[in-house]
Amino acid sequence: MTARSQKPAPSSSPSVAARIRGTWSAGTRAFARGSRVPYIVLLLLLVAFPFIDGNQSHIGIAQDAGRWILLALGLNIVVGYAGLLDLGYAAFFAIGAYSYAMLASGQFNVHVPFWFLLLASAFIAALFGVILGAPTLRLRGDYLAIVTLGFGEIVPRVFRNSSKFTGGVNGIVGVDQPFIPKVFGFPGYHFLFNPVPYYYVILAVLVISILLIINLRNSRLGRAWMAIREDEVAAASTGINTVTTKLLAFALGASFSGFAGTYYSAYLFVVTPEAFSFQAVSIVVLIMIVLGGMGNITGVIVGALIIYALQSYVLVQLPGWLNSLQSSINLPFLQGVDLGSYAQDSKYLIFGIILVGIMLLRPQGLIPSAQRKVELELGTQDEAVADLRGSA
Amino acid sequence: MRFFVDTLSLGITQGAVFALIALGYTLVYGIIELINFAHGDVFTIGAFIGLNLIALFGMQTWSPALLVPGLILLFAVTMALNGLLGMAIERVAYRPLRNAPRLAPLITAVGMSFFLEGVLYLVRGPNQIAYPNLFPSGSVSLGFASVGLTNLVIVAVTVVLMVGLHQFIQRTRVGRAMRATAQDRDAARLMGININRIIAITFFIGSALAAAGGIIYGFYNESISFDLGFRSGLIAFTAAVFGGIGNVVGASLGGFIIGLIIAFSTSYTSWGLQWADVIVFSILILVLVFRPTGLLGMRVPEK
Amino acid sequence: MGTVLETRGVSKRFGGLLAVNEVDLQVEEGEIFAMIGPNGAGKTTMFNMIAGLYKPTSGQILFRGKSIYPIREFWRNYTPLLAGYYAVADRVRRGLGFGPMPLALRPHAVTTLGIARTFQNIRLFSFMSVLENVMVGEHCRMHAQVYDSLLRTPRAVSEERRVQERARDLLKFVGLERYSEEYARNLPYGHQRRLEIARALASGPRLLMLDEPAAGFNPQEKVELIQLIQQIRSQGVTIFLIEHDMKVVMEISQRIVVLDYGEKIAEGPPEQVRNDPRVVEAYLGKPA
Repeated sequence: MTARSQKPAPSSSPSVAARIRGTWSAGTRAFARGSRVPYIVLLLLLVAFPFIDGNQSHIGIAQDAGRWILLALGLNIVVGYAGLLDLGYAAFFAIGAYSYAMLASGQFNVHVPFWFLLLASAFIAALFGVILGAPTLRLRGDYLAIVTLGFGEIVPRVFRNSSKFTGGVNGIVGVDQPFIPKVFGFPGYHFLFNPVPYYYVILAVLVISILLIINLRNSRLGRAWMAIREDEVAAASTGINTVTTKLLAFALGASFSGFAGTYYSAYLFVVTPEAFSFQAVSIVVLIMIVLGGMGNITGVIVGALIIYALQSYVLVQLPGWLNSLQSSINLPFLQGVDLGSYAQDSKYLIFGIILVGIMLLRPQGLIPSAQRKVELELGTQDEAVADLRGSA
Repeated sequence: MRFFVDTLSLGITQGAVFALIALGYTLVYGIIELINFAHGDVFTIGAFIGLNLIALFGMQTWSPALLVPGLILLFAVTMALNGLLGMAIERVAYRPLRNAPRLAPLITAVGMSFFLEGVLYLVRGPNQIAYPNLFPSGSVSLGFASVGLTNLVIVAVTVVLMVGLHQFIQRTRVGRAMRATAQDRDAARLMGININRIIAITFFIGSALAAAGGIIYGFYNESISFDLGFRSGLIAFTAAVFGGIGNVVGASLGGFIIGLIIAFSTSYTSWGLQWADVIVFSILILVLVFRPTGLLGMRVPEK
Repeated sequence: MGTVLETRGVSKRFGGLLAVNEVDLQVEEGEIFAMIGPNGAGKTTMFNMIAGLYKPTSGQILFRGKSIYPIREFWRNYTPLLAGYYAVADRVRRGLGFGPMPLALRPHAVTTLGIARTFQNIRLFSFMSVLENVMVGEHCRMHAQVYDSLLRTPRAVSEERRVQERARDLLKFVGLERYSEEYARNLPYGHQRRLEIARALASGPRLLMLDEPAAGFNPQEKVELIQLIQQIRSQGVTIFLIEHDMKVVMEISQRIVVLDYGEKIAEGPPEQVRNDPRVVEAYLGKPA
């Protein structure tokens, strides 16, 4: 009753929702208003990067970071937009990677072109996403987490155990490298082990992906995801097919992962089942988006960069730093303690602390989506349609 | 026949461990509808606590007369310590998020699992660590086959714990409050039940049972490692779902059945060893898809 | 004027509790039909079954003469395997004389057919703007596919513009156009009820089900609500409401049905129901 008695505030100043929405879609607005300058400058800088910095290994690192960003953007559709916890994201990454490795290598002596498979593997991964999601997305949301976790465990094991097709533990070596064919007088170009062309491929893929994801978020589908996240029962009663809508998020997320998988196996020249474990991929990508801010593209990119830097630079260098620090300070009680090895071993611990810490202290992440922020702080309606209707 | 009985006892013994872990999943899920991903690692920590206590008191060298009360004490202390750990995890990581969207505690649970695994990795390193078996090691001959004494003791201990849990839930005031909370938390609160206390007790019981499972696992397999909980946890969760999540009897039954499935597929087929996990996780997916209420059914939402 | 909605012997059992027992209803095209009864009489359960949120334990629900759970629909809505199971079970049940398999469309499919509803405890999308709430209501009438959404095709753009315009019209209709950018949860209570009606109307229903629309309203707001309901009806939408406020019910409804302990105890025009001894007894208890 108290809510009723207060008269609605005249909305003279821009309302809270409008203001928040303003920041939320600042990116889109900037594009719409034509103030694209900062983005174009950033893009030009990224395009020019290989010319500015001639160091091949730096470019190699940059393209690797780009692949992680792509993975994070895809999982963000599932977790950030649709609010589904997918713990088997690595499975789709593996499916993408193995699709390419099996169809473009000496394994079966089939050599389908990279460019075609880059798209096709996205579809293959999406297909597996549908096969897994169609039955399970009818269930309560938290079951999806465990089902995907199980699926994420199954897929690498299947690849490892079916050695007839996948080379077993050793994986598939000698995956084709992409090349641009000779057409219209263009001389043709082989990627070989030069990271620069890969860098441009991932950059182009990222730019296109980001544009597509922005479109998606502001569309009919994006609105439906938002509604399901807030109140699934109300969304269903309002006419949203909750199962297919969630399934679309799941499949789209999977397709990004498949995409990244193909790219990854082409770049690495090798695929092995160990590269796709829960600890190596699924959890890392999840931490990226949780840290950066679920549902916010900029946040996800920043989160991906931070975690990438952490796991492939800081954690690698830390032992060396600590050991030199230890020897320079030379404290008696640290004598004989191998600080360096502790630092190296603390990856799991650090990941765990980041996940728990973020969820408890700043669930919206570093660069939050305003909508997700209020939802996470004030709570949503968590009743599932499956609860009311029973299982079928 | 001998081979069959061996496989059977292997399956039941392994199943006992899965059942003890599955009980924790099912209890917690029944009360707060959270898949406690950290539970598998709580199980591992229970095994390590037991190992440390054994080493601390040098229990391997105790005489048999001393060993029986010693083992009872070992189980009791380990279970209590691990129960407190479970309560602490709930207090720190889950309680603040009780009103957040369901995604938040789920992610926290995954993070907690990693945190615990990280601590174990840091302290005990990545390698397999030897575990002494303090249960009697002989075997009983049945004429056509023989059964290990260890297996018998394990099953006995497990059954005692399960019956104890069942009696606790059905007979005591706290157990009744737990059942009430599981059915309708708000109504239970209105009837004067302290929900926070009930949830804490649930975590205590679940983690304590996992600790018992941890020691038993150590005794039986004679080695443990820091990442034991990931696989065991997932298998035990499968068992809980198989029996009907939220259903205590179902979790026990599910544990034994999953244990038997693993034992028979590894012993009787040439491909079983490689594919056992794939089979179990496929069962998880199939059960969730076709019969999400499990064998014995979960609690029905009464709306 | 035909029958819009019909239920035949619909029952719902929750464990040991029979919440709704063999209820037959007919809602005629263009009328305002009210369902009343004491708390716990099964009214909202009835609504939830019609809306597809609960599956009836037995009985049939027909919308415009057609069952809202034909097996054919199941092939589209469920995995083939499950649909096959239901088809066989249906045959067996009929054969044994248990009547048809009580199935129900999923809620979104019911809404798409043309039945929209509001909730007793308002369920808006709290953190979406008022305008977006109504636009979600139009979801099932939109045609943009995934690729339209991804590529922002002209079709998606023009549809989005059209839908937004219609949403604004609806907001004007319920008198909320000033608040279109506000978060739904920041609206005062009465406005939230109106917004929920606007959202339901956005799906273009033939039948609008209102679950206690006047709950918590003051007399002035009730008068406005009655006007709004009558306006909606004058546009050709049939109204089916649950309401506790007898003044509102008696004033607007053509026919009333009374439920008590899950059973229909009376049905008819307001004056008849008002004087029915069983109804008086249900509400006031047996005279000593």
